[in-house]
Amino acid sequence: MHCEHVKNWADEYLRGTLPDELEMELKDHLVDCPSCTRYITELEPLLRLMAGLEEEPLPEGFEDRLHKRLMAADRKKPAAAYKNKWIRWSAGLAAAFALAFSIYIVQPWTGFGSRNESSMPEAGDLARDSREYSISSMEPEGSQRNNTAAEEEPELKMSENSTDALDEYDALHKEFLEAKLPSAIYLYVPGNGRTGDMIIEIAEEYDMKVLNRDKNEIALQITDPDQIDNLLEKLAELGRVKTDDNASQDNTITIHVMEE
Amino acid sequence: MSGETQLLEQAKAGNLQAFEELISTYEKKIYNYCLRMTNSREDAEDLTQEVFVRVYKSIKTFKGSSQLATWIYRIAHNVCIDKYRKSKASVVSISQLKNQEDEREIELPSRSPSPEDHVIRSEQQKLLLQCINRLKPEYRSVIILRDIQHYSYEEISDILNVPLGTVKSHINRARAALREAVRQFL
Repeated sequence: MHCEHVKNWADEYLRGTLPDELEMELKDHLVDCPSCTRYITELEPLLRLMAGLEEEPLPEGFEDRLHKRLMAADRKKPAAAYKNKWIRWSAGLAAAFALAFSIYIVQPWTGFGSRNESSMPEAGDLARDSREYSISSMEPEGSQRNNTAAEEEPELKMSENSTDALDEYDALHKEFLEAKLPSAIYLYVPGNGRTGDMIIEIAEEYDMKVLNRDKNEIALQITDPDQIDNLLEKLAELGRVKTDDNASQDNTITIHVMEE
Repeated sequence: MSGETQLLEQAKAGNLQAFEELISTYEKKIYNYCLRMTNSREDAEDLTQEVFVRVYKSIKTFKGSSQLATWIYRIAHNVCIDKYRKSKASVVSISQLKNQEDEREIELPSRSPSPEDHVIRSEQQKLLLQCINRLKPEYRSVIILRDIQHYSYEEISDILNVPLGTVKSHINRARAALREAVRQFL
């Protein structure tokens, strides 16, 4: 056994967890090596002290507080679902208004008579007619492929007071826009190597548009707040990550690759 | 399918209860890792919760190429490093730690024998934790993972994503510095 091995196994030797064969080899080495013997002697008090550090229990109420944070994270999660919901909702609303308007325009020419005031719809009739349609039935063509996901989400029906749904949309949209995205991420890696290529692969995996790529800088377009969490986790697998405290003004993030 | 694997699949499908059960095995260990990294119970709880929120948000992307524990620990390490960077905590290099004047708040225990050994030991451990807290984060983390939480060199290498040789080198240097620092009060 070399002196270097003694250093590597010293802590396990002192804890008594070294396999028997290795322990014998180490002891044999110590007999003829005063330097390693001194090392073990000096290390023992330190390791004994560290071994005495007991594992502390979780603080009281920790799991309740964590549960609340996870629930909050759950509520914030579906930005993608929100986006789909917003697209469906706004498309439905636009279609409803378009239909109502076309009925108003076309009806005088449909053969139900000349412009007879008695056949003109009342303003209230139009409002009532539009409310009879639920949003889901107003989905434009091409959205059928989202039906599976849509079935899992609560349907937004037009309420008697149509501003309720609009208020909900406004609140969601405001939350989306106000999500604080950092303007820059600093990624510290041992050697640059293929890091840039790997970042591009991550961006493509999460549908982030690559705006620019210089030697050690990559600029990405973020359209979904959840993308930043996924990006951070993936970057953490490549190296040490630090985010800038400044918020992004235009939903773009620049990743700076730094060699450690 | 093992219990953990089953819980993992359920958690990935969005089952919060399954996720909470899955992480319950790791909560105390991660809390203690954060505690030893920050030497602050308040910071440790905050960071531990941050770790598991991040794990929850990205559990769907966990492909299983590494152990779940390794992945969670790596997130914990990065969260602690980020915290350290933001706080710009005063840290010293190893050579400075050897030469630095004593700035501890707690008085050094007397060298004369005392019947209250557990009090002395507790004081020594407080001083030790202060010394550990003054190491650079990369040395602090390996000391905690190896000498306090007893992970293998290979596991530490996976967690920190650094070569095995680097792990061993950092541990030896950190121990050397701590040995000098604690010599005065042991």
